[in-house]
Amino acid sequence: MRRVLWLLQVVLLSIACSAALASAADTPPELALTLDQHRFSPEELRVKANTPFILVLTNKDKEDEEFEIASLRIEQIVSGGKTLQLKMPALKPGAYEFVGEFHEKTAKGRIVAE
Amino acid sequence: MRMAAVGLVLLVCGAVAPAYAQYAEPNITFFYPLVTRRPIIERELEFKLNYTKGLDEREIEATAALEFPILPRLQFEIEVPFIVLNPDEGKVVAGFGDLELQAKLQVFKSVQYRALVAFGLEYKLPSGSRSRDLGGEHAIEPFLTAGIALGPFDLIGEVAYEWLLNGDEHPREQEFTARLAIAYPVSRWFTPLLELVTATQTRGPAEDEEGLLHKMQVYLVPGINIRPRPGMTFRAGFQVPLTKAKEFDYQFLSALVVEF
Repeated sequence: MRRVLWLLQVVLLSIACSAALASAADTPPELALTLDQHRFSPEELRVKANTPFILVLTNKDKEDEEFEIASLRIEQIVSGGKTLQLKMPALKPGAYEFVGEFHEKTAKGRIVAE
Repeated sequence: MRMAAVGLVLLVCGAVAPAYAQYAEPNITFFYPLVTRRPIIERELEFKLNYTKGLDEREIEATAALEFPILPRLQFEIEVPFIVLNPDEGKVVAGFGDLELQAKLQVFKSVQYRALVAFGLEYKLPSGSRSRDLGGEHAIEPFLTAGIALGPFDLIGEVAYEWLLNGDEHPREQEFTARLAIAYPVSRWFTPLLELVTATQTRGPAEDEEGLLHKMQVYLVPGINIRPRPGMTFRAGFQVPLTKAKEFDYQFLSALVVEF
């Protein structure tokens, strides 16, 4: 009986471990987006549709900026000189315009999911 | 042997978990309803100006509110109202009303589904003068609020239950409120909205002036959001009763929100 319980524990822990490792292996791809002199670079990001990704957003300016994707209801303050790693949702195919709300005339771009 | 195996598994899992901790979920935002509470953690200053045509008085209420998150998902708010009351009979009175403190905890956020859920507690201090009809209510009100973007529409719903605590002076009034707000963001700068509000006094004086006990009051609130500049939102609208059971004839609601 003890042996069965021991085996059961090993199996359960193995499953948990495998799941964790599998998740690690499935870590979403990272895409870099930099804000410098109130302009995003690159201005167009291409991502795989229906797949989550990590957006590594760096604000090289001194001022804070509010990163906004209105169609996704996303609004995120990025402090000056800081980098954020944002877990982005899986996007349906299409184009998603983004802006830096505080400098909207220059800080703009789009994410294309395809 | 067994302990070693468990330790090894925990070590591996523990090493994997922090890899995710470094990623933040972006914030989700919705429009600003006029009366419905939002499930959003805010860092804002808010200046409200409301005009109420009551059943036997007219009231202007100017309020300043500070909303501040102390944790990423926990926000506190303090609200200080100043009231000018002009009764149909009697003199005009003015003064500070009841101070309101609010804590709000966001319990669910899904960027994928663009959905948020928060619950909170509002605490009203009887700082306003009861003898001059400027408040004097001591009350608590737990609430639950949730929002979701459905296609081009934003929906926010809220339920709340208010208990008056200073029952020696007041009858121990209790009120259930349910609110639903829908908006269609036409652009990033302009959003029309509509709210449906119901309020039912579940406990209170059987024969008060308005006779509201156990009667559902229903109000409609058409309004707009305008963003005159980044980080600033102006909202305005009218709250009008649809039922005979009502606390006022109409109410003009407006506020300027400044994010900081």
